[in-house]
Amino acid sequence: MKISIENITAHEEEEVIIRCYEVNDEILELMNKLKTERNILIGYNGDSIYQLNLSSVYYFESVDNKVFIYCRNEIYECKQKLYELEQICDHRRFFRASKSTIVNISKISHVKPSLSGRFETTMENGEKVLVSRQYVPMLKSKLGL
Amino acid sequence: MKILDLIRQFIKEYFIIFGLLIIGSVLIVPAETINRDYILLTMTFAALGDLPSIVFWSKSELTEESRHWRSIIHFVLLEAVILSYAGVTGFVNKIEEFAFFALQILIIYLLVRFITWRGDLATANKINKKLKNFKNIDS
Repeated sequence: MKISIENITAHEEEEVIIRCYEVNDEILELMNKLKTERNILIGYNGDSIYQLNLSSVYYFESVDNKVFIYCRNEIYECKQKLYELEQICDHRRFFRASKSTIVNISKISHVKPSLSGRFETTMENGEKVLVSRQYVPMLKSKLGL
Repeated sequence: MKILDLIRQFIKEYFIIFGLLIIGSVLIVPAETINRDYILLTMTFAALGDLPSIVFWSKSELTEESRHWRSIIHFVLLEAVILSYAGVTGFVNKIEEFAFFALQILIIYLLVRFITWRGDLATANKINKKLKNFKNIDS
């Protein structure tokens, strides 16, 4: 792939244009990398591709080697691995809640202990996500406790 | 859960069980019976009682239902291990003694679960308070 850089004047907006004959996995991966730097994720729902802002994400969940993005009412598939998302979200208001989930702290309504010895978070949309005991210190530390 | 976390949990629960057994013994058993051998026996009981915790270990995340079933299996194993050991060592002999001892195990089990839950409730309250502050700052 040829890479070109064009110098522009200071008052022009910086822009990345990808010129391709087909939007393939390589191009999508490149877009993903560029967009995550700007808090944007790529979500797939059926044949459609969506640009999602990290702040609209409630939580990420890994199910059978696939990662899903859960927003208020919609679910999207994500091509990134959970550990990659963990790195992207590390300095943001997200925390690892279990082996298979990463939760947005800003979207948690409240937390309560579950009878099984774990913690249950109720999200702002009413969904419930379990937090494993070993990840509770991470949530506490993100909240400054 | 990683193997290191499992070992850490084993050690923590061992001391909780041991502590509760000693407290129970002080309240129930005559003072002259509590000697070095009795404490060694209690230490062994606590270790054996801790071993069934392995049923909670899993490579993947457990569902709530799976955890509840494993809790029941854990308790049955706990009762079986401790009652067998108590029988072998002659700590209990008669059927009534076995029944009373089984009841003691149940009470201790429930106490441990209750104390853990109370601690978790306090933690959840602190987290909720912080979450509220967090949202107030945002809005």
